[in-house]
Amino acid sequence: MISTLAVVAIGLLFFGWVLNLVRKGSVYVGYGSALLTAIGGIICIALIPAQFLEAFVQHASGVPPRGLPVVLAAYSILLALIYVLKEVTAISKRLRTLTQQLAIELARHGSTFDAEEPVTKAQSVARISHGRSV
Amino acid sequence: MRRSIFVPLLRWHFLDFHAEAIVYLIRLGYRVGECPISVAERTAGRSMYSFSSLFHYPLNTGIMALMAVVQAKLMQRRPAA
Repeated sequence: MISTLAVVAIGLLFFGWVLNLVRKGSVYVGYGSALLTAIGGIICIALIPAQFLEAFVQHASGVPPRGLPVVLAAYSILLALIYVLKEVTAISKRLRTLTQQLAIELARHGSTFDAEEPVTKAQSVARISHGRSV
Repeated sequence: MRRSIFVPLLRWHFLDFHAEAIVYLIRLGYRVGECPISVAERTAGRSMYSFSSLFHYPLNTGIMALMAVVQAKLMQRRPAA
């Protein structure tokens, strides 16, 4: 009973945390919905009476369920996933900002960028080594 | 859409300005009207929506609409920057 309450409490904590991350834009809502579904699934599994779950898992896989440690392991994986997805979202936001800035700069300068030949990597290295800005 | 709408819209992030943007603006006290439009049927190409879109779009938009309510409440409490 206490372990079930602990699992539900941790799940609700995760639920609120992920929702807040989505609200702040730190996690893309598509990732957030997948995470929330997973958390909801874990909470639902924790709320299923133990004898039903044991019978089902043993019937389906032949492996007896380990209870609390399995759920905690699932939460640990979720925690790692939240971290990774948060970082992926941050990178994608930076890329979007960079693209928008480039588009604004291109619009500001009009055709001056288009007139120039594309600078190769060797040319840019040569310019930098001669103290010229690209 | 009036100019005054741009500031609150830029102060939060949306999923392509779908239903959550409407929820957010209504919660902030803006008036939202409805204008009928006609959409031409697609004649070429493939739809960007797949079978899984039936499930994840409503879920994503639902979450964002819920967050829009929370965000609008927080914005009303906080003075404009």
